[in-house]
Amino acid sequence: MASSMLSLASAPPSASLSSHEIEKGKLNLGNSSLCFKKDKTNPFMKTKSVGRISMAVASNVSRFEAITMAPPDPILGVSEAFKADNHELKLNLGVGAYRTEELQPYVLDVVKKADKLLLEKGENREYLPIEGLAAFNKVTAELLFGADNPVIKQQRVATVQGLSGTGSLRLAAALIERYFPGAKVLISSPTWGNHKNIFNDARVPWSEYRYYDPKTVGLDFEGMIADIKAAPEGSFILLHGCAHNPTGIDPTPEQWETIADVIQEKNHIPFFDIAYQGFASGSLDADASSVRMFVARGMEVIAAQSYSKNLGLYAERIGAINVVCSSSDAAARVKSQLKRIARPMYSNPPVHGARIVASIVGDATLFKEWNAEMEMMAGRIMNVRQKLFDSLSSKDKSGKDWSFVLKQIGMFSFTGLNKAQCDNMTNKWHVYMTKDGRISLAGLSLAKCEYLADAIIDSYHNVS
Amino acid sequence: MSTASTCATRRSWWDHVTPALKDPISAVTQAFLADPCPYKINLGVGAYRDDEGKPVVLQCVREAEAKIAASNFLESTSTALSSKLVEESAKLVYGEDSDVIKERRFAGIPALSGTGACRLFAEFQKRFYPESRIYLPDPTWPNHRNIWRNVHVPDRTFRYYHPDSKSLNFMALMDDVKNAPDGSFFLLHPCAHNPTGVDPTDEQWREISSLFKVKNHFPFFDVAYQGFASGDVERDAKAIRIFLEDGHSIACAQSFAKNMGLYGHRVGVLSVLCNDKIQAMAINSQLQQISKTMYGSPPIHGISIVSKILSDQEIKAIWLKEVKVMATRIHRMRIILREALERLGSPLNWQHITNQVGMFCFSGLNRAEVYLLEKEFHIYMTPDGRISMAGVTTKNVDYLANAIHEVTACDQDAKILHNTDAYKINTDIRFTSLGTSKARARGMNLALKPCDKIFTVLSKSMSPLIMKDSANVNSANVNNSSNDRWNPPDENHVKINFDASFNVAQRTSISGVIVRDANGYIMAAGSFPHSYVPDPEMAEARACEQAVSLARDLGFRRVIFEGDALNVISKLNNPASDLSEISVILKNIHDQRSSFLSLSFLHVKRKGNEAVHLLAKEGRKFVSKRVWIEEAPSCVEDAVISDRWWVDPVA
Repeated sequence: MASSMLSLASAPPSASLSSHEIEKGKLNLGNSSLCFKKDKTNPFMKTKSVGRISMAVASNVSRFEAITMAPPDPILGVSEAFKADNHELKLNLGVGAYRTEELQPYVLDVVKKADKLLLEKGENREYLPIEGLAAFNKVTAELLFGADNPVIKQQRVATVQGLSGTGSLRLAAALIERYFPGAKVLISSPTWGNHKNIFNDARVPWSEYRYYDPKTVGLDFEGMIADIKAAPEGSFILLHGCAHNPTGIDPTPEQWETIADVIQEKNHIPFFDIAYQGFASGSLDADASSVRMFVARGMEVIAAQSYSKNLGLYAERIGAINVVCSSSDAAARVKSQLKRIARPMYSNPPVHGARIVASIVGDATLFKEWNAEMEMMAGRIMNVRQKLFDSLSSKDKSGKDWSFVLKQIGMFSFTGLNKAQCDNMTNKWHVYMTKDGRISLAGLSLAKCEYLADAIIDSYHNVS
Repeated sequence: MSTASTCATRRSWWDHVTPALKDPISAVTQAFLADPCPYKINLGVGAYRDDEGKPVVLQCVREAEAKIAASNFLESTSTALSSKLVEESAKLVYGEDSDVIKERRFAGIPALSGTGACRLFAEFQKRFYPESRIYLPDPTWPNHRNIWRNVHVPDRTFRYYHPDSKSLNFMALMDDVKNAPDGSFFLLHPCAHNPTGVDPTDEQWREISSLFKVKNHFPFFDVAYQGFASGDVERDAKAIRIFLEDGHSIACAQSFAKNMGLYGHRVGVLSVLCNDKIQAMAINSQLQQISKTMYGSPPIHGISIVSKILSDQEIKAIWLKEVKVMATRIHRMRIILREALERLGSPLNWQHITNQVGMFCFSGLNRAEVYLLEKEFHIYMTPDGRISMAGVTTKNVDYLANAIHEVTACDQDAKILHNTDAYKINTDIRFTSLGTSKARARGMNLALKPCDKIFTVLSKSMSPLIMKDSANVNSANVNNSSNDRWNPPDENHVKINFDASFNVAQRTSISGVIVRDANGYIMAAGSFPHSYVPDPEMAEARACEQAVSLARDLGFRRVIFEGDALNVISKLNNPASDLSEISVILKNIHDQRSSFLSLSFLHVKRKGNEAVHLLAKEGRKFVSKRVWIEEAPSCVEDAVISDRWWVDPVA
């Protein structure tokens, strides 16, 4: 007993033992004295038994006692609040996943077909190489850059399969940390919430460039250009290839050219995050035009891809990181380093999603079907966007210009509503959305546009 | 466009990115795939194969998939599936009836198989014990070190394996556990240790657990093979249950790659035992945050398969049977391989093949023997001599046994090479590979030491040139031991010459090392640059040290080191306390003595050291170190040929 008292006294001061825990300590003490008897024949007996008794108490103070709750994900919080609301007109515009007109989750028909084919084939489940499924890596680079792109033919692209957009971004972030120590990544303000976390955890310093202008609910192009110009030479400029998340605001083709000029002038590296290729406009090629323009200028480019949205493969975690280099030799070296980063992170990527993408893109019929479904999904969102604009314009007699809704693209619309106005949307109208004023149009049906327009107009005019 | 032209001349952003080292296991697979020989065997990869050598998709996996396909997948089910997986996995490892399960005193999240689970824990450890280290068994799965290093947690090793007994070095293990600072993190393999296949007994685990309590160490278990060692998942969790009984705080990385054959689906779980549910929630939230910036959420397909298998009693029963089938097949192959080696009359002890458990057998084959198996027999394994037993089948086991016997039984009479079918295949293959070797005919190239006998056997039917060589070597074995020329070692030894070239202005030196056998043929060579070298004596000492390290790394056990630096050699042979600058180097050299069965340091006059002298000079051309196996740069060719003074100069 004396030894157990001793260890209690020596327990770290931060670890306050509740009476309950002391109870348990006694219990364990009983156990350990049992062991003590059992161990009598053992030469280690003396030190061991003492240690046992003192540790039995000490182990009740968990090594992880000091750990506090990590902050909850803001988007998940929205979903949970939505679930708890019983109002019949409630709308969840928080989540970034596609919904049908009936507001149901949607599994693409081509994915079902590909899944079925895979099941029938019953292929083995062996490890993929560290860089991923070769057939997938080939088609993913071709989808992004175009199969005829010289960078593909000259083998100047290092492509490594990643775990969707997040995993691919993380690989690139680790590469930057290792080979460009101190180099900064510039991210748009605002941007997808996870971007900052990814670079933080990869120990890559970042700062923001201006992007969104609340006055016009549009692009702050001059601010953006000024900030990119002011960044230290050789920075990485993170750009959303299409359908900017969360604003839905993209630069025009002319603006993209100017951005490319400045990046080239300052010797920066363009770093694309393309989470919505084909989902924004309905056309894979149109949505990749920003990336292809940079590549056509002979620039070295990093590009992270995701198949979460355009194939609806959210949970399969399939994407890729591409590094366009000035020579095939450099590409081979970069690829080997990307593999070296992946190996101690997860060894090799998951096979299922890669096989689905490869079999869809590799099969002319399925590929055509996919394009049609993508057009359908993008089309539905564009219809909803139009209807929302029409409803806003006809209902609002104040003369406010709502055309920004139409100018935005992709799954999201930035309403320009402030936090208090968003609270009003939720509390009064049961419309759930993130507090930055972003609404997911995928969560909206044509039938609910008018109701939403009422909610927005009320919040905009009656709450400051 | 002006911008385009300027960028073409600009340097590439990635010029300073150099090729990463190949992963050793992937490298073995690549070499295997490139080998056209029909008899080739891949014993490198750690994935199960059936007796036909084919990958297996388990029946339980097919059934689970069929059931999953029937139910329409929705995003909302993803969270439910994940928690199901975590719950069932925790039951599997901690025991269904354990208090931690009943009281839900654990945090856990799905992870990307074993690697991902280890990585999550390493990140977690770094975040909440930023100054801590991780103790890894020596040896361990090579990726362990990378995982902790990549999150900037320093790694240390604790002794585990005894190369002579090819079993657990329990005393040393306990010593190292005792000597580690209190409250250290230790990685333990609870069953089927990778790569050795050597596990502690239950009694030993109890003692380890007790000592961990005394030392307040944290046990982190990498559970990659539950069920694969004994065929029984409960039995294989015994070590963890022992620690659990003793009230340890534990974390487990579980993988379903091997025991469910789901390698490519990347399914695993990291679980951490907690005091209560509240702490479990806190730890869960932190683990989730770590994974959120690495890959978001885990891939769902594998998760849905595993949670189906574990929660559907019918499918689970099929799985448990299939695990047993896999484990049993592997165990049977161990018995057959050992018996085959014993039948061949191998003088070595092969008990460890059947004593070790799980997928791997740490054969004790050294680098040279592994190299020879690859080059002469088309058998591929990692350089540490790890055999993946899953790659052994009833069809190839005799061929394998025979090959192992041939590369290890060099001291034996060639008569023991039975004229079996397997042997006929071997010799055919070997003839083709030897016959095409141009370098060999030039006298520059011969297989490594253990091949001497094979070479002698074969040479009887080979080219007259080589036959003549061998005959002459035999007669030359009566050594003329004058030390003004190079003399070959006896048949059981290799001789390693070393020399240094010293650059006074830059204070740098190059160590040259050449390894030769009794025939005077080059077995290996190396050139190593050093900086901050104060004087020629240090340069010579460094060269000697390098020679010893190279010999050790290549697995040579009986070695004669020879150099022309008289003071270095005499200091090595008279280990009186030396206070000169090279004393540290000399101590390093002495510390490596235990790696050799026999070693000696000889002095030779400069003329007898000419070949390596030229190599040390030539080495100035290379920026980094270079090692050659069975060859050397052409600058030493003439000197090596004239060192073989007992051979008639054949045109």
